[in-house]
Amino acid sequence: MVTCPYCGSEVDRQPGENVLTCPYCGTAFSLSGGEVGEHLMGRVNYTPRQIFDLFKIWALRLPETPNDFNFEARFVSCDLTFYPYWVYEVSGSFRTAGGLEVAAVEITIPACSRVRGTPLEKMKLSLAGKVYYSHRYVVQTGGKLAVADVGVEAADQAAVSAAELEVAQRLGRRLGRGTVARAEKLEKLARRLVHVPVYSCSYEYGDRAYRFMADASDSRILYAEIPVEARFRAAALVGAGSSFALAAASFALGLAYSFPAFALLTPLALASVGAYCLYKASARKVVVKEFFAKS
Amino acid sequence: MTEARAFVAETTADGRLVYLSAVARPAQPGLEQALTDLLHELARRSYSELHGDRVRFDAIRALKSLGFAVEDVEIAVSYRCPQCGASIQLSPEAVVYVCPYCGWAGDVRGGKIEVRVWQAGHRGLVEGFVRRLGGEPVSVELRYVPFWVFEASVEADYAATVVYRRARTVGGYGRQPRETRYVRERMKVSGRVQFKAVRAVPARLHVEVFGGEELRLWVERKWSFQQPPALGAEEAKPIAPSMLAPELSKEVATEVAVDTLEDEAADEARSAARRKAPGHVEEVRLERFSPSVTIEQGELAFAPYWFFTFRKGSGLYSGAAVGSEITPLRIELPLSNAERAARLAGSWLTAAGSGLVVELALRWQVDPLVLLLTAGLGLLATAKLASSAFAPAKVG
Repeated sequence: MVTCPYCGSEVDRQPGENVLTCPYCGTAFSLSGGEVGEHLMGRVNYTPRQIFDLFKIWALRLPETPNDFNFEARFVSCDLTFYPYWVYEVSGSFRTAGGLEVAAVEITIPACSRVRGTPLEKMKLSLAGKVYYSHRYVVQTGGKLAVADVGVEAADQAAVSAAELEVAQRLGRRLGRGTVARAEKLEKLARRLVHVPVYSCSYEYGDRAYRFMADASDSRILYAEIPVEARFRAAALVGAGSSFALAAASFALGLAYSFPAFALLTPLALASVGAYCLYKASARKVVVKEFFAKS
Repeated sequence: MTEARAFVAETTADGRLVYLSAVARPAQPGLEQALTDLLHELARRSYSELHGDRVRFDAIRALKSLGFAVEDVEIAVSYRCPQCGASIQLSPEAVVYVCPYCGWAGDVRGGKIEVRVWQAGHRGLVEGFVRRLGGEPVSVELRYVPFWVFEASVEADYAATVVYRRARTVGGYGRQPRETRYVRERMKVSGRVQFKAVRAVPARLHVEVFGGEELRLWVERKWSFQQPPALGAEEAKPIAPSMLAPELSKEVATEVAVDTLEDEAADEARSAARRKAPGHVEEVRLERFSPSVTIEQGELAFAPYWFFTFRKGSGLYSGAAVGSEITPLRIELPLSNAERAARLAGSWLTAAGSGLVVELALRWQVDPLVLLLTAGLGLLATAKLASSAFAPAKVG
């Protein structure tokens, strides 16, 4: 148990948790008992049903998706999790090859190590539309909190490095690639903890279950598993078989007519096409990690 | 009555016009008046703070300190139309809205904003367009997408190093034959670029519209020759429910516009520096770049955006169009199995063709670099065609 620095309530600590959230007053604080900055959250603007309908329309854009997907896919369940992120406003002078550059950037650092290696790791958040954290709202929406285990010090360091990278990329667009920026004097390093609502949904198609994830604030699809139509897989298999057969035939032809370059290059290219077709045919489901806005 | 209720019209610390309501349990004599006074007090906080647990906790603490034995307090906040006083529920992201009751348009702080809207055309035109594509409309939806449109003049001073190759004739003395050699040289250039531009910035945080970039370009083009008319309240009212609430303030959008225009000025400066070199330019490095962007006009304009889905064969496809002429922005068209097979066969032919070309080039003793390049291009074209056979759909 750790005492909340704002309301004095005793708060349970989850295993590995480095930043705690008081369920009574919403304050986010570190193990040492200090507040970590403003605690904000994104609100849930879509229901699971709305998200599922958007997901089905999005999924139909993939060729592997069965044509009856819109009617046959059945919604099964949906979990709402509020994932914690550190959002920084960083401004100051950055040293570059061309001199000092004054810049201001917004940086997002995941506060939950569980999201590493998932599409949630790359999320970039804006502070616009974020409101003060309400645990009551989390409970009312049926959500749960992901454990915030990335502490303040580690996040601060990561934020400065990310800001340097961001400034370098921004200047690189103007001054050319390879631009390096180093933070020289930071005027502002404002840290906020933001909980973002993410739906993790499952649905059934045929006799199998699949999953997808979506941002509950803005409906972006973050991760999706989509069934592959049997006809599509059969067609891809035929394509693979034909490609391999043609590869063998061209190899034989090249040798027979003493065309060494032809015997090497053409079968190689055809076998690659065959391998690609085989890869498409072998997948029972296609996994997409892409934002809806980019599709 | 088991609970005390209070309701006040207020302006928050960050200037937003709101209604604050509260429910406290259990009801006690004098609690309603205390709750009303408390809501006026709480309105000194920001709109964002009013959504949090902390404000509720502070309210309970304040009421307890006044001697009320309250167990729970709930606080709700909604926007207040400055013209008709209607209570408006918006997502927290919204910064500008059109009141669906009286048609007033302005920001959440009560500042009136002139809203410009291009005409939308009608649904029948979209359905007719879909039928001309050979499809059967399934759904047709009209949304007015907000853009901040800026007219700006841009100037930038620059200094750059240009690396270029130049042909130089050497030899020609005595028996030595004359020959052309290419030498690499560098030169320092400087100058000034200036231009005028129209920049449209989507006023939504995430442009979750299909064909969003095409829509932005349409707005910029359309603005240049036909600015949309400003809408009166009576005209705005019926379309208000279809208008997406802007989530980007004019100030933030201005920053975005200035940033992109500065990038464009850098591209212009690089092009100008490139033109000053006397040979084939290999690289332009900007060493000094001082842009200045003056925003001359900034307006909020709504583009009438049609999103539709249609059935063709056994597939469902989507498309987007804009304006009264239903200008297509992005449309998915079915890619038939025959087309997919043709693309795969194309990749086979390319593989065979590139093998043959390399074989012949080898026999004719062509430069090894050209040989490698041909082989690489052949493999690339094969891969491209093979992957296009599995493309989602034709997008045009």
